[in-house]
Amino acid sequence: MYPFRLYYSLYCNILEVIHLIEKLQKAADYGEKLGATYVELRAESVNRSNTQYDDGRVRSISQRIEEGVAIRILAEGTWGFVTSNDLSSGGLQSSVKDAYSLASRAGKARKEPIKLAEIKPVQDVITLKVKRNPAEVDPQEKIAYAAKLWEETQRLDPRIKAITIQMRDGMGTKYLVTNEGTQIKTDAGHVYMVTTLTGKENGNITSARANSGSISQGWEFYETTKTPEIVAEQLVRRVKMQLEGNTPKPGTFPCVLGSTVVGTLAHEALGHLAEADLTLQSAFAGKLNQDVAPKGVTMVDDGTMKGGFGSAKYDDEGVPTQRVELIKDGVFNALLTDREYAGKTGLPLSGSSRAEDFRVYPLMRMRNTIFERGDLSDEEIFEGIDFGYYCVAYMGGSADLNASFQVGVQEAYEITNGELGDSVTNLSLSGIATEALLQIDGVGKDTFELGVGRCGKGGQEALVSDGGPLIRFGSGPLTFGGKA
Amino acid sequence: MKDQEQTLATLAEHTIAFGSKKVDQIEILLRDNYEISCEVSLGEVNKAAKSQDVGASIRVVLKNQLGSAYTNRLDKATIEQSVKRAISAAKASTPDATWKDFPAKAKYTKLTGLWDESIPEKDPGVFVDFSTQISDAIKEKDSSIIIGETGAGGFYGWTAYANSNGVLTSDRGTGVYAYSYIMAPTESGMTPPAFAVDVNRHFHLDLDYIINQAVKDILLAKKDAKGETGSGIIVLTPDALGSLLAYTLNQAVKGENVVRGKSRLADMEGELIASKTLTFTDDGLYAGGYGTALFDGEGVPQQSTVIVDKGKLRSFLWNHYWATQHGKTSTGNASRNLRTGVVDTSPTNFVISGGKTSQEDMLSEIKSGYLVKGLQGVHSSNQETGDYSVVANPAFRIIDGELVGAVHGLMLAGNAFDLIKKVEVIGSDVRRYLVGPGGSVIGPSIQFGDIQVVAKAD
Repeated sequence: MYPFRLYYSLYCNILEVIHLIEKLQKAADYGEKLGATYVELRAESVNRSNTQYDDGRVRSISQRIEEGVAIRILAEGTWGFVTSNDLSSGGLQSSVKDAYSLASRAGKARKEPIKLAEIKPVQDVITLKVKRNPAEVDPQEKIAYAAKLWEETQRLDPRIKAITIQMRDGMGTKYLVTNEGTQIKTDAGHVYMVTTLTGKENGNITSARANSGSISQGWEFYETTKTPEIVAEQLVRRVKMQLEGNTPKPGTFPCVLGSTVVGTLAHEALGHLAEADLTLQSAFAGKLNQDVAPKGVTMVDDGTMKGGFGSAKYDDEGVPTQRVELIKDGVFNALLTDREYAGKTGLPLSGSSRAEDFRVYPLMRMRNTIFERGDLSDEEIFEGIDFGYYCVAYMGGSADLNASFQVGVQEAYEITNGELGDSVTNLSLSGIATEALLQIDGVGKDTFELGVGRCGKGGQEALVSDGGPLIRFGSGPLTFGGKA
Repeated sequence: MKDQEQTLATLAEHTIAFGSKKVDQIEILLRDNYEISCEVSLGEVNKAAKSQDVGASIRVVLKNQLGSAYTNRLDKATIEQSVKRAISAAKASTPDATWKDFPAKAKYTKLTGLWDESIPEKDPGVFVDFSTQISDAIKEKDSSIIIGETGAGGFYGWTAYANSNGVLTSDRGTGVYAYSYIMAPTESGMTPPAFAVDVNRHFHLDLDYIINQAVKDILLAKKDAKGETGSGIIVLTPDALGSLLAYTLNQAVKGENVVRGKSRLADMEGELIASKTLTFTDDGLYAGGYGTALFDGEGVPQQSTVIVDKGKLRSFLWNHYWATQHGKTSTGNASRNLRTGVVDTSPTNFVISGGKTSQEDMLSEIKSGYLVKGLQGVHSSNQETGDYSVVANPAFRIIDGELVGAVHGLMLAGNAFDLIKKVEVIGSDVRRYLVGPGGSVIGPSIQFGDIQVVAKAD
């Protein structure tokens, strides 16, 4: 009986998928008949769950299926965009019509029509195999993980007073169908957790945060890689350091940045401003093919990286992702583009069009952004620094169009005479990227671990990872906001 | 249009009737929101969009075990399935021994001015015209300006809430907005971007403000100025101050953090915690405010709560759950993520009371200082200690009462709880902001003294 039911359900699913792709294709063809030059339907059906656990109590457990479609149409040289949760044939047709009317109305005010860079349409099916599908893991198991993490942090340090654990996962299918013939079905999923730990001593309260996640592994990621013991040790170390650390000094100092801070630097200092829509409005406008860093420095955004939190085979326009050398041997070498901006600038496609889900418009986004390894040993990197800071773990960052960037640091140590010294409480560093990157003073040769996180742009988030080897700056390019 | 509010209310009522037989307690919050928008990029119309955000969040309690479910399909069958999913989630949860109940029936303040019948009926072309009008007017004022983006849009929606204590309420709201986001090349690179926005719950927008304010900032920012490291005077606009306080003070006044031992203001009710000239109010009923509504995310009536009165801490902000944990009453500040089921506490409209000095008079008295219109990195502030270390961007240098240019890479560092004690002058230029991490902030420019400023090395 059971095998038959399994077979039956699989058979139905296949029929449903074929049926959905057909419906999407019919709607795309209908848009073309209306007069649209490009019609794109991005549908998804994802099983999501969220669990929040605070100080021993379960604050929320939510499981849900989210289904819907985003329709993007190019007509009269302008975009029309509609989102809907109605996947019926009638509903899709009606949304296509709405998007077409929006584009036609807006297009009346446009002088130069938008022209998309051409692509070869692909038909592909991407599957995902994880050992433990998080949607099928008993919620009790997730709660037990959270309880163990809370217990472990308290055991490690009695000053720990509060914890907030936010776990989320998603597993489902995305469809991309266009009037050009692209038909891609992608099974995708993720597990992700943000934990905030609070410690208190003599009236001093402070907190630390850690992110972890994977898109290539399921729940097994938390059983083998980020176990409660490993996460607890990292967080308790950071809280302890905040409670006991020295106050940072204000001004400019030599410094060595560790892998996740280097990753955030890559992401904020140049990464965002290499997204083509932002480049044209930024201090990096016109700097393509010019030196932006010393010779030997290479920074890439690689959507094909194994284990990267931002990796995918295709982007949300059906363009294959790739390894883009943003800085190649010190030279600003490439931008992250989508079909509109590749068409506008004549630059190559980079597979960078990403939308958080069917509710939002795709934007040019980073995926996995890293500085490549250099040639200095750890000893050589720290050598000769009389006083400075070693910044190990980030706590957020931001970028602005005048190339001003900021990186918050939640784990840092003083460097005295080339040796690591006391820990330092929260600090942040900033700089003007067009000046600072040129003054990178040394790049380490050791391997590094990628950091994972969520990047915000235009009100939507993208899963990204970043990292790099140790990087050294001399006194000058980076400013530290400390206390006098 | 009134029908949709009634449809949601009927569905809410049905859900409670359906679920009450199966669980000890149940509640549902439904929303159906629409937005029509237009965006102009680099001077050309780029897109017109219509998006829908529809969903229902259900919470059930079974033997003190809480479970929730979400659906983005609002029909009876799907909602009933969602109730069953919430029950499964509750069964998988662990008991919360401190759980009391969902909110009880309450009286709602009658609010007017939150719905403009004309907005849902608008042709998208209206917003295309606003966006191009702003873009064209800016270009005409100075052709060197890069129009990063201009845009306009309208939103409308309905919401309903019901629970097993007999609460059943519904509401509707509209609004329009327009903005400009511009910059200009300079000799050394690019100015910081200037952003100006206007928002209204009725169909009325001040396009002149959006055009003129942004252009004024960019023309000034085209001149580079130098900063000086040391203790300085800064004037923060309400959106800049609001964004910093959102990650520091507002966290410390959250009732949840008081109960959980995460607030450094926990035992300080009635004490002087800020300058005697400062008054902060969370006003959920503010006329025309972006955060104004009949009820919060738990169906509790929104209200006006004075947080800091002439420097003294008067009240924390509570949602129903954490208020009942502490023997308090909800202040109508429950915010709700429908999809994750998490009920948090957030300000509605954060109102900073205005003073008597115009911004012009305030600046004219400053011999040396900075006017700061944005802060980068507020989200990396330490929420518990209040320590911040941020980049002031855009930051305009003030010398002998005159604004002389923009400073790049200027850092401000200190502690937010000390900052609010260092007020020198409060402006009379009260304005509404709807965007940014501070949410809906209404307030004036404020001058602070003795602030740690760190200038970039030459």
